[in-house]
Amino acid sequence: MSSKELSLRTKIARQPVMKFWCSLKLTTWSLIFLSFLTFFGTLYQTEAGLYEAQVLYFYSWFFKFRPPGLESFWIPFPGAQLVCWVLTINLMMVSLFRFDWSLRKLGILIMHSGILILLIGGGITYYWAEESQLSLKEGESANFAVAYHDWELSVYQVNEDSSLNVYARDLKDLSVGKSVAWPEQGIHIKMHFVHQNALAYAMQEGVKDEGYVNQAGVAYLQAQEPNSDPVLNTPGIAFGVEVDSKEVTRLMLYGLEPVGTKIPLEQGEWFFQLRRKRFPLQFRVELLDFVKSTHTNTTIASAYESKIKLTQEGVRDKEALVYMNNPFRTADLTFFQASFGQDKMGGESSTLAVVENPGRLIPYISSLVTGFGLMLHFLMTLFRHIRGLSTRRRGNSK
Amino acid sequence: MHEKTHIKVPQVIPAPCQVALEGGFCLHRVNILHRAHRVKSKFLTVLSLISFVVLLGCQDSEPTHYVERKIAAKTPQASSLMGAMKPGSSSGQLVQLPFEYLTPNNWKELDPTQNKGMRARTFDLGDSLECTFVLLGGLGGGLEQNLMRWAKQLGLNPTQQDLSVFRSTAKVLETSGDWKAELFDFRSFDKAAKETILAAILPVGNQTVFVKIQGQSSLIDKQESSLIQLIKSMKPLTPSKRGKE
Repeated sequence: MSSKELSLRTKIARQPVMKFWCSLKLTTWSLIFLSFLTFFGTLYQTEAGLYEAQVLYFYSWFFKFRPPGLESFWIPFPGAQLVCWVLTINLMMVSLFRFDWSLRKLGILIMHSGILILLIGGGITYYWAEESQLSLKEGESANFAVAYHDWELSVYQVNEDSSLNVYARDLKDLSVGKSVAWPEQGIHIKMHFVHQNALAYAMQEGVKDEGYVNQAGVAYLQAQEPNSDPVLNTPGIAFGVEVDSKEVTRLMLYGLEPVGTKIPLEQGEWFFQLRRKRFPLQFRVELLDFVKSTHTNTTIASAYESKIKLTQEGVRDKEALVYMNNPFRTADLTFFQASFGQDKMGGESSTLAVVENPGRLIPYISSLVTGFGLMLHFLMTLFRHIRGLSTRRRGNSK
Repeated sequence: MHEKTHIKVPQVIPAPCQVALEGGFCLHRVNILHRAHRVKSKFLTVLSLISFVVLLGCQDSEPTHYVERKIAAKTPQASSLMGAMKPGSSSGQLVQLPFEYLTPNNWKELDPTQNKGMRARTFDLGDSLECTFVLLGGLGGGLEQNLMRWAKQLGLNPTQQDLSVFRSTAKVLETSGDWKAELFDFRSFDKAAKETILAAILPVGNQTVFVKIQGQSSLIDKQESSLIQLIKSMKPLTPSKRGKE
């Protein structure tokens, strides 16, 4: 058969680049790598904690793999992010250019589509899902949740109703020497240093005053080795605020400061604050009531639940009860009861974990599609087998 | 001289090699073309891998905009404090402490969301006296530096040797959480001083807690036992208050 007689799909599949992407060897190696990453990632988790294991083994493209017991030796190894991307493209290419698109193989095609949906869902969750928390006292309400370990540099003005008009940039986008702009607000800053983890000190002898402004009196920051658990890190940054490429003032901000530092600029007064990243919500969440039950004759909580109210302009108010194993779901958001607190004045507060995952339904859809594909394939094979048997029987009887 | 060889064209032969064969080139030439084509294919494969990694790495650089609104509880106590709760002058945010404590009977704990600066908690002791908790990471600037800073707040200027002697006068208190606090009375520098600082420093995990009362010596005398009682009551948070489910 000459190449002219081949179908377009086969011709594309036989292109060397496509051969690589459609290769079954690639699938096999990717699956081997994934098993390896899952096994050693799980072992590493016991030693370094969940977060560090996730970052190293699963969120990375490549990482230095150090075999257990051989700390000084390492080999470069693909991370799960790379392997999953390769596997997704591989499966897409195989489905498009290599699979037999006949009715006979319909079940197999549907089953692989289900696996592809699962991989894509994993990607959506990884890139777009956000985990945060919302701590409220009884009667208090807020329209934002706070990140566990991501930080932002917030630049804000205070509105007449005491709300804050915030323009924020992620801390991870800031680096030493980098110029960062808030073009619409006419604010330009140049980073002097960024410490992912730091200790803050007030002015003291022996420290050169570099003229940094800080509302809390922090005069210098000492970089610390970042903790493996990022929740324990408190970042610190310093930067110059520039007007026409000329530094007009310099600020030093520390993550533990509860309020922003006010800087008067031509465009008005702006507060600068380094704080945990905020996730704005489309509605306002109010904690109506928090109820804690304790085990008899102890102060140990046996159960606790939060009654919340969601308020959104133009939408009817919604009330919900959130307690252990009973999260509240609305749109792409899920609220879980996470923890609680009680201050010395007897005021109770509740902390809800807020998870926004646009791909939360995808695993269910994927399982249904894969299951349906498998069932279809087995049924079709069974029917073919039964038909073959009856044909053979008829042939024998003749 | 190369000999023309008849070779069987495989089903999947790259296009340039097909052309070469149809043109009747020698095998040597075909091999060169074949190899060049393979190099190009490998290059394209690597390029396709790099392209999607680079494309995925691209990120939007615009700042995120949102309007943050937190409304305090509508209780009489909270509303009376709301007037003072303006960003820039007070926090409106609760600093979580990694420990719990018992407030002495005659002390009144002020709303922790209204603390100024780096104060985590403030207690009103009456007679215009306040006791404050400040929580800092690590050693919080070092023991001697902090003692020196407080000494200067009282108008003292001790030498390094004076400080070393002063350190040795610290009263060591053991808390309910088995932490060791060092209590410093700045009257050790000047017994007749009218104003003094009574302060305790204690490391709690990877943080340091500073507990401090500053004011008239005669008034502080009355509060010393309460301060000691407060420090001794400090212990780690019970799991139910600390953890998640």
